[in-house]
Parts: sequence; C-alpha cells; structure tokens
Amino acid sequence: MPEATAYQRMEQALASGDYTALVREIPYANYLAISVQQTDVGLQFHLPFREDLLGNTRLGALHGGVVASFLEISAQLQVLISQNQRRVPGPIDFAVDYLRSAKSQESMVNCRVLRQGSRVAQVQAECWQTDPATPVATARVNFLLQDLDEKSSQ
Amino acid sequence: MNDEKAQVRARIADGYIRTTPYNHTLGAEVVTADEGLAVFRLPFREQFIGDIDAGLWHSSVGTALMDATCGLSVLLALPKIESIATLDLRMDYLRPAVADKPLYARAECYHLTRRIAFVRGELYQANRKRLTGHCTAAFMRTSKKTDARRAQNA
Repeated sequence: MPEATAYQRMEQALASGDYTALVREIPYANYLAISVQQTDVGLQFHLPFREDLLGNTRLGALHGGVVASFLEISAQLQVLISQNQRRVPGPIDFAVDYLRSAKSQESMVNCRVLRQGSRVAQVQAECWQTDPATPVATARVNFLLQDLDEKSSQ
Repeated sequence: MNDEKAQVRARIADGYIRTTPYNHTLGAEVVTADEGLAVFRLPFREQFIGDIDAGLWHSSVGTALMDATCGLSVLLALPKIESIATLDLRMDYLRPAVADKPLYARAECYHLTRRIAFVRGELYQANRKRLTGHCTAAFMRTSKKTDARRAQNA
C-alpha cells in the first residue's frame, strides 16, 4: 500500500481537527514547537520559550527573526484552518513591526483574517506575552490562495 | 589600515554569530562582512522545510535569516559598536526556495541617521539574478550615548 503524502495527511488532520498532526506536517513550525488552541475568541497560537531562540542573551530577548517566523506561520495556519483551505497558502509578502522586546517566556499569536477573496487572503497577526493588549509585535501577511474547484468558502 | 578594518569587521561578524543564540541555532555562516554589507549562507536542514511534498523551504526561515543579516549590515555600517533593535521589516516573496540547496541573504545598510539605520536585502539560492525574496527594514540605534544626548537636548 503506498504511503500517504504530506498533503493527504494534512487534509486528514484538518478534517478531524487534529492541529498537532497538522503542525507535524510543516517541519519548520514543528521545529519551533508551535501549537494551536481553539479558544472562545478564536484560534490561538503558542510558541514555548527555548534558550536557543534568543537573539540577545544579555537582555534575554527572543530573536526578532523567531518572532517574525512565529507571526507568519500563525497567519498561515489561521488561513489554512479557518478559511477552508486544503493546502498551506503561500505568502506573497509579509511586514512586521516590532513594538517591544519579546522576553524569555512563552509567546502567543492571535490572528484576524481582514479579507478573504477567491485569490488572496489578508491577515493581521499580533504577538503578545503577558497581555494581549500590549503586543510585542504585529504583522500583516498577504497569502495567495489555491484555486478551489468546488466549495467556495463564501 | 584596510587590513585592520577588515579584521575589525570579521571580529564583529564572528561575535554577532556567537553571541546570538538563534543565529547559531540556525547554522548561519558569514560569507561577507564589508562596510555596511553582510552576506550570510544558511545550509539546508530538514527542519527548515515548509512544504514536504513540493520540497520547499519555509518562507519564514528566509525572513529570520534576513533579519539577522540586516542586523549585521547595520553593525558593519556604524562608526562604533552600538546596540540596535529592529523597528520593522518587510519581505516580498518572489519565488519559493528549493530544499536541499543553501539559502543566501545579502543585506546592505544604505542610509544612516543619528537614530535610524535603513537596510535593503536580497534572498537567493544559487543565482543572485533569481531572487527568492526582497527585503526592506529599519533599525533603531539604541546606544546609551545617543539617548543621553537626546535627553540633554530635550
């Protein structure tokens, strides 16, 4: 019997709502140990703290590139899960604003899909640590969507 | 004299990799450390994959590498060692990066003011004429000295 492809495993994970299995199919997201939780305000993404993710040991600050990766992957998962996508959407462009340094602790991301058309999804993402009202960084990401022959999400 | 400057730049680049855990974690190698110009090479690893079936790097690995490269280009443009912080960074994803091949990031700090450093960067694989990504970023110069002068002037 042929082994299932990553795409097939992802479709299965999406259908069953198994986000742990979903993240496992995206090696870089899995490497950062990003996890997804369903909360009453929507999906929430978690990045556990690890020493090797630091950018500045003296300040104990997370590397800006790690925060950027976390924001982008979260926005990508948000579109994948909430917008009825079957494949990981490819980003067209990405812009991050760093507001304060991210400390040596767990980080969270909340996303909002500002607009979802048939070709492009525009997402706003905020990364925070202790209080969602004081984000450490915000980002916006535009994704190119796959042409879905059937089942438009509208 | 030129040799001396080149040595200082090599030391800055070396220290930058060693003292930044995530640069070290990624496995980024310095290719060029010139005045206001930095080139990093990131050898491929399985954990950098974003799409298993298509065999592609995750776009946000390039973003993290770009953030690191931009930072070094600023340090190489400053007259003296200062601490800096990324203010914002924007990436255009021109084409995906292919797995198994290394990724290169080239950043140039093209303008410095008393408080801000402006950077542009390119991401590519074998051929710099076929960019995988393009970047612009701004950094704050956060040295105590500049802050003290600012407080005095205020």
